This record gives sequence, C-alpha cells and structure tokens, in this order.
Amino acid sequence: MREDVVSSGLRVEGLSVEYAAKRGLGRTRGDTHKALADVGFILPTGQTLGVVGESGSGKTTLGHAVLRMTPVSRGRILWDGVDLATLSDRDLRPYRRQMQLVFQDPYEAMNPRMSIGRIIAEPLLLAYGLDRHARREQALRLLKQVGLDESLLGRRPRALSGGQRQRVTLARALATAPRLLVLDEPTSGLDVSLQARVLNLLRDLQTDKGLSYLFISHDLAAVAYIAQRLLVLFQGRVMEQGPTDALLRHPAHPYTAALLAAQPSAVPGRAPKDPAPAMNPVADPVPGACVYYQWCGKALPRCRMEAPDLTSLGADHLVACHYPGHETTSIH
Amino acid sequence: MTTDGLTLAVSGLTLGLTRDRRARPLVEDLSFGVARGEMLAFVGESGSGKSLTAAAIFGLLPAGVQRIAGSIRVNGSELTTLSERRLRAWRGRDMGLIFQNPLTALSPSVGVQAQIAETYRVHKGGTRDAARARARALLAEVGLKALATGGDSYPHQLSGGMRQRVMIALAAACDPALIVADEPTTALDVLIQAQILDLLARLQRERGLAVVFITHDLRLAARYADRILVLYAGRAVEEGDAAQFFTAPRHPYSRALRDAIPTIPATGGRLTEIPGQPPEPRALPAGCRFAPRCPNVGDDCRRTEPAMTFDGTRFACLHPCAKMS
Ligand SMILES: Nc1ncnc2c1ncn2[C@@H]1O[C@H](COP(=O)(O)OP(=O)(O)OP(=O)(O)O)[C@@H](O)[C@H]1O
Ligand SMILES: Nc1ncnc2c1ncn2[C@@H]1O[C@H](COP(=O)(O)OP(=O)(O)OP(=O)(O)O)[C@@H](O)[C@H]1O
Ligand code: SF4
Ligand SMILES: [Mg+2]
Ligand SMILES: [Mg+2]
Repeated sequence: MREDVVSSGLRVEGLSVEYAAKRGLGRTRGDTHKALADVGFILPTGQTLGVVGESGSGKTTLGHAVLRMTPVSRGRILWDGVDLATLSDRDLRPYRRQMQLVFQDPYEAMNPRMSIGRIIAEPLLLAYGLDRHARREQALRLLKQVGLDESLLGRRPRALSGGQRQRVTLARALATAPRLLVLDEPTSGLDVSLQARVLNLLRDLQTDKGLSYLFISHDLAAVAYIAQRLLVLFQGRVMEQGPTDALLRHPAHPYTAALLAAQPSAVPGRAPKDPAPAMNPVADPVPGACVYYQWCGKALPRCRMEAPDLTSLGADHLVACHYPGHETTSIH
Repeated sequence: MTTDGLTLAVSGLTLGLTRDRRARPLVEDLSFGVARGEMLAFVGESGSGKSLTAAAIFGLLPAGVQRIAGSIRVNGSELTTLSERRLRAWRGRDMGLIFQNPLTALSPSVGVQAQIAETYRVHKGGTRDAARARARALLAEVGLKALATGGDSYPHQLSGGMRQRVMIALAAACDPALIVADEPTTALDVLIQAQILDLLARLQRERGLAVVFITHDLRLAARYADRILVLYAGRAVEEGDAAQFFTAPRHPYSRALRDAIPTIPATGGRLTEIPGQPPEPRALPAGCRFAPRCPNVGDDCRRTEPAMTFDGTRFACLHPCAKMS
C-alpha cells in the first residue's frame, strides 16, 4: 500500500490483540489466545471497509481495538496521523467523540427503563452537558435524520420493532457528530425489508456527512452493497483484502471463496452439491503451517511446511495464500 | 388441493386471541400441504404468523392464542381433536420441531447423547444400551463424530452450530414423518448456516422427510425449498414452485421481498425498500391487507379482499405482476 495515500482517515498497522486463553483443552495457565495477529488496513475518509469472517474470527475484537475498547498488544492505530494506541485515556477523550460504535444487538445495549429520547440524548449530556431543552431539540433532529417519527421519543425500547431499535442506536451514535462509525452486524437481526431500509439510510448518511464506516458482518451481500473495500479475517489473521468488486468476482483466497459459496445466492436452484467446508474447530493448529491449512480444500504440501505471507496481487489487492485463485487438487 | 398422500395437510387454519374473540385473527384461513420428501418454505416479514402456524401444528400455541378453526392432519390423522396426552406421543415420535435457539429446547444439565437416547426410549422403547447406540449413530449422522464417540458433552460446551446439529439429531431421533424448522440458522454465521441447511436438506432427501422451513430470507427459501409459501399479516398471499417463484413472482409483496435483497456483486443502485410497515392485527386495513404498501394498488383493492387464484402460482391479488418480470 502506498505511504502517501492516507493523511486523513484511519490507518491500522500490525495490530495484535491477545486474550488470556480459556483453560481446558490441554492449555495451561498463562497461555494467550491471539484474537488478532498483525492486522493492517487503510480506511480513507468517507469510505467503507467491510470486515467479514465466520463467528469467532475476530471481527468484533478488531472494531473494539480500533476504538481502544479492548487492550491492544501491539500495533499502531493512526487516526489523521495520530497513533491512538499510544494515547492515555485522557488524551484519547477528544477522539472518542469522533468515533462511535453501533452495537450488534441493539436491545441488549439499551436500558429498558429509559425513554427513546433519553437514550438518544445521553451522549449529548455526557459529552457537552447540554440542558434539557437543547437535548430534546437535538434528539428530535437525530430521530428525524434516521427516518423515525417524533412520536417515538417518549416510548420504551420494548415498544419498538427491531428496525426501529436499530435506527435508534444509530441516532444515538450520531449524537456526538462522529466521523467514524464502527458498525458491528448492524442488520443481522433484521428481516430483509428492514435490512434494506437500514442499509439505504447508512449510505445516505455517508454521502451527506462524509462519514467513514468500519462495517462488520458475515453477510457478504450486505457488505457488497455498502463497502468499497473488504477485509477477510480467519482466526484473527487477514486472509485477503482489496476492492470489494474484485474480491467478490475473483476471490483469490480459498476461504473467501468458501464464504462466497456459502452465501445464499439470489439465483434459485437446489442446494449446492458441494457441502460447505466444515469450520468446526479441529484439534490443534499445525505449527508452521498456513492457518487455513486444515480447512482448505486446495492445500498442497507447501501449505503444511510454510505459512504464506500477505502478498500483493496488484491494485491494492492482498492475499495470504501460496496458490491464490488457482484450481488445485488438495492433498487432504 | 387433494390431501391424499400428504404428510402434512393444513386447511382453513385460523388462529386468534383467546380473550378478544371478535378481534381479527392473527392467522386466517391458511391452507397448505407438504408431501413426503418435500420441503416447503414459509417466508414473510416479522409478525406475519410463521411461528404461530408452526406452534399450532404441534399443539404448542402460546397462552392467549387459540385455534378458532381449521384442520391439521399428519399422515392422514387429525391432530386437532387429540387429547394433550395423545398429542405428546405424536410430538417427538412422528414430528420434530427445531427452534432458532436450541438452548430453549435442550436440557442444560444432561449430556446430549443421554438426551437423544432418552427421547428415543420414551417413544420407541428398547434397552438403554440400544438407545445410547442409536443416539451415537444419530450424532455421527449429523456430522458430530467427536460427540458420538467417548464421553458425553453438555450443551453449553458446544458452539451454536454444533447445538443446532444436536437439535436436528434430536428431532430426527424417532424417524419422524415431519420436521418443522423455525428460523433454524438466524443466529449463526453464513458458513454454519449453509452446513445446517445442507444437513437438513440431506435428511429430507435420504429419509423422505416432509420439512417445513421457516425463514424471512427468500434466498434461503429459493435455494433449499421445493415450494414457497409467502405469508403477509396472517394470510397466505402466494404459493408456488421455488424456482419459478423467484424468477416470476406474481404477488407484489413477493416481488418486493425479492427486490429488497442485496445481490453479489452489488448493482450499484439503491436497494428497493418496502414502504411503511405491516399492519397490526388490531388495525388491518379494509380490502387487501397489502394495499397501503402496494405499488400495483387500485381502488378495488381497498374494497375487496382478493381470493386465492391459480395462474402459474397460487396468489391472492387483484392486479398481479406480469408473468415474467
Ligand atoms: N473478552 C474476551 N476474553 C477472551 N477471549 C475473547 C474475548 N472476546 C473475544 N474472545 C475470543 O476472541 C476471538 C474473536 O472473537 P470476536 O468476538 O472478535 O469474533 P467475531 O468475529 O466478532 O465473532 P461473531 O461473528 O460471533 O460476533 C474468539 O475466539 C473469542 O472467543
Ligand atoms: N402470545 C401471543 N399473544 C398475542 N399475540 C401474539 C402472541 N404471539 C404472537 N402474537 C402475534 O401474532 C402475530 C404473528 O406472530 P408470529 O410470532 O407467528 O410471527 P412470525 O412470522 O413468526 O414473526 P418473526 O419473523 O418475528 O418470528 C404477531 O402479530 C404477534 O404479535
Ligand atoms: S390486491 Fe391490490 S393492493 Fe393487494 S397486492 Fe394486489 S394489487 Fe396490491
Ligand atoms: Mg462479533
Ligand atoms: Mg417467528
């Protein structure tokens, strides 16, 4: 990637997050589990980076790490050139307003006893200490911005539909006029008609306000709609990264291809003949091998001996595979 | 529709609130059938009545909701007149139910092998050893070889996808004729989702199961089901062959559901939203229930509730979409 591209926006380099390993399964105390290993990407202002991968691949961890909501073991998080990873909590505060998280499960993130108006206005109170009248005014403006009726202001979260709740979380996240939103599965609990509404809204907000999105999802179709670039994670490592269109038309990594094959297509037909690859955890990783080796339908002997580096396929397209895009007959 | 030879035949099913008998029904005059070895998908927005219909088939309606009219036959036997005790014998033995969240159906304190073995013994009898062997074979069949051998595992030790496989093994334990799966993969990622649905489709084919698959994703319905039934505000609005349905839906609501789905690669344009929201059961509009949101609406739609007609698919609409769209 070119050095000069990003002076404004987000640039992440060599980001690693380690958690204490769960015990059992032959692990001992003090072991760590690498939830993210050496992740890097660029997110230019006003654009969307889609983060995809199966459950447990590290998507939420990545979103939280960027917002410094989870401790970072190594790496740099450059926001307009400032490394957020090194800032103290105090120095971080002005940046926190500029970056907001929209949760995976809006209902769990809401206090069921608070009115919608209070839920939306709370960040305004915390960040700017606005008085009641000003907060109400702002809450109304935010509600309108996400296409909700002002009659919802006095209601409780329970009285809202899933799509309405998702838009309330969005309104709340917009309260501090952020520049970056980390959207963690913002549409996965919604039915198709509500999903379409939320995705359209996100696009409009991006165009109007020049927002940048880190859009986390395992639904490739939703990601394809909203993201210019894609980052594919597997077990905390980047498998492939590049322009959305190129990745989805010609996936270079077998894991990207597997995700794509599992995606319910809009083209009717009976269930595919090749079953989706089994992603259940297998015993222990093979030391020195490619992380995807045990799951890969295209693995050759080299994959067992040598872990592939992330290498360029040109035009900002990176892949961690010895045989990108090749048809090989697996040794498995 | 003839009900001969159908594994599941539902006709005129109407469900409503127990307390307010004059309120409009939550599910109205619903009729459909599923044959042996066939998968029928129910598709519709949240609140359209998919889960209530599933619950009614199993005699498990929530408190406050009752069956007002209609017949439910499994392998030719009427279930609505059975006593609770007889019905309980049918459930688990002849028909299995799979929920979105397997933890609501699995006991947390009993190992999964033991749970499947127990279900089998209750319905089919036999020795404990035979039941345990059967449980192990089932776990292997649903792709959980690690759980089939060695010691037993508790549900909380398993991933979401593994739990849902256990649910399928449990539902299939007694060789049922019918399985109803209510949003079985909504909580899972796409890879696991594909595995679970591939598994269900395989059992359907290999064992000749009749399957009702409930989802709000028309793509999944088109990929796995033989036929699709679209529900809107408690009524069937269209039913037809899955492939044909997807390429040429006749009801404007079916078409709207299809067009709201993003495609890969993206087309670049905006997604088509369905304006407004489905009506509350308390405030159903006069005439066609979809009229306030419908792009094809005419004056007649606000007066007349359209009846089911057949033209390629079965649909209930006064101004249907063109045959090829
Ligand atoms: N607080 C924590 N302590 C220890 N391990 C954790 C913690 N949070 C996450 N993990 C582990 O880190 C890995 C990545 O988890 P993460 O939640 O980021 O995945 P994800 O891609 O968001 O998955 P999902 O799609 O299920 O939300 C998993 O193996 C998870 O078990
Ligand atoms: N116990 C209940 N008491 C009263 N009304 C109920 C009850 N359960 C469901 N309903 C109503 O019946 C209608 C149909 O609900 P149902 O749960 O069948 O919808 P669904 O299609 O399964 O929706 P979803 O996609 O959200 O699961 C809704 O209007 C719902 O509010
Ligand atoms: S009957 Fe009329 S309102 Fe109802 S779906 Fe058909 S065209 Fe639309
Ligand atoms: Mg997550
Ligand atoms: Mg339901």
